[in-house]
Amino acid sequence: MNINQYKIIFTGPVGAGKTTAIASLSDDPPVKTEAAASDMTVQRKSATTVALDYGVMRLETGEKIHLYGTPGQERFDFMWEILSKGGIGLVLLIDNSRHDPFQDLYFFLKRFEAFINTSAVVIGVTQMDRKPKPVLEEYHLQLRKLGIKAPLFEVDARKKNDISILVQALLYTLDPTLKTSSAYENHAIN
Amino acid sequence: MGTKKTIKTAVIGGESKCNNVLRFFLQTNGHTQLVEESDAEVFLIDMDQAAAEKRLEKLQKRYPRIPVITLSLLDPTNTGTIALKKPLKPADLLHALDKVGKPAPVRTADRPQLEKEQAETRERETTCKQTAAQTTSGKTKHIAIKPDFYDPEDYFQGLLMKVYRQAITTGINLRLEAGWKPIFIYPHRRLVWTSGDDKQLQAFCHLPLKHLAQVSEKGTAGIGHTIQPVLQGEMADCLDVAQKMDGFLWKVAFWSAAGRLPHTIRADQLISLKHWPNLTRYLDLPEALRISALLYHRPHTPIGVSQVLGVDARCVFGFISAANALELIRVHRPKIQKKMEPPPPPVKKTGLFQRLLGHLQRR
Repeated sequence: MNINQYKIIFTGPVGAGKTTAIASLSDDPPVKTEAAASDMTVQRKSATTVALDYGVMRLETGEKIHLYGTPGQERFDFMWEILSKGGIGLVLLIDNSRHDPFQDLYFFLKRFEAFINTSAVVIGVTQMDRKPKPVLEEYHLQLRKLGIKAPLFEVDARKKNDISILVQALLYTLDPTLKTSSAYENHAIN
Repeated sequence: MGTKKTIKTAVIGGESKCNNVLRFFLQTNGHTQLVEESDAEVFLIDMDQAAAEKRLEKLQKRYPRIPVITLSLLDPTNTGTIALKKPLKPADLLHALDKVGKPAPVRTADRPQLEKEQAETRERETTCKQTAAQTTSGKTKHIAIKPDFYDPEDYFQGLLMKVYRQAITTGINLRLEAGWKPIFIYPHRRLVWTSGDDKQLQAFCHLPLKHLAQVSEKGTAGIGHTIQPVLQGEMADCLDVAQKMDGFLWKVAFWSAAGRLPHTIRADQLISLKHWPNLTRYLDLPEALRISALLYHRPHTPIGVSQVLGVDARCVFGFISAANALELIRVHRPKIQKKMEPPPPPVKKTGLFQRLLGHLQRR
């Protein structure tokens, strides 16, 4: 088994919630490589990811799904291609409270274009409670302009259920005929 | 007066000075008959007693068509009731009783029809849920179903959509009263607020508006709908706990549909999703992720979605109704059938994805 095949990549700008999202899904304590921010990043958060974040989901069959978070700072973007190679799909988190979230959207979709073309992407928009605009409808419009079909939701990276729905949407996008787990559905409809 | 029909009246609530006086009055005035809740043609409730609000809500939910007379020291705040202010004058009470007592109640004749409709709604929803569970446990049972349709205009959904449009077009905050709790709509912030809970709202969504209109004709105050601008500062404190307009409409449409398709969409018509619904913030519907993925991937007929996914058609129809209310459904012309792309090739990692999905959904 090639473990490189089983990984999901989380990306997005600084402060979008990648580290938190991975922590909310990981079955082991996530490995964080945060350090005090020393450049422009300091304006948005006191500590930021300088290499990558890592978490893992352990399936009952013994398989592992590795969760990698890309460093938000562009000076580490040489790592992104290496990291995404062979991944299942991409989770893109966009911080709605940033100055120009659509620019972030274009930037990351462009940088991961090759990966997205061979897998799938889902988009989670964070911080909408702090800054509700632009609304999701405007994001959909931008995606249509770019010719990208992707699930897009409002998410709170701290909420496990939100991140879980994002990853589930990624899987259903890759294969719409996947079945729902009975345990989940019984919970969901009751 | 002697020819007047005796009105079967139930006083709601336990022993209290007010209730005891009311019961005594009702037993002795000659025009009313004191009965139990289940036999009543009209309810009387003292809103100044403990838990009266909750009791009233339960009552209205359980007997949505039976008029309620409320008594209170405060100004009336409840919709859908005849409100009398204390100190109570016997003449006012008799007048109110007289009002609900004529014309001869249509309730007795209407109740079986209403109950039948409500039972059908419950049955549709239950089957949808049961089948969702069967599908997911691998025991998919295809239920042959004749598609059922509804017109959103016949339900609260149609009224809500109309008021949404009005609020968005004019930019004015609006207050809608339609025989239930008032609903406040704030178009600039895309928010909606009501004091009612989801269970009450669900029950209300099931009721065709024509039934409410009949009750209105009977003279029960406040049942007919009104749309008014929200006064400056009115309910401003509630915005912190308000709901998003789209999420509110999503569940109203799903509950109004009760497993049926909107009458504008045929069960054999190709449809697709314009984009995914914001499922992290909407009411969780059975199989919503799967249906979204399939309909976003490429056009299918509503019946086709049911067959491809092995999901009860009523779950699919309910989802489509909710998505259609948010204008997320695109209806395709038949000619697209010829151009439709072939089914996608089997995905190599389906087994892994299925296990990963199970892992996520069990947590």
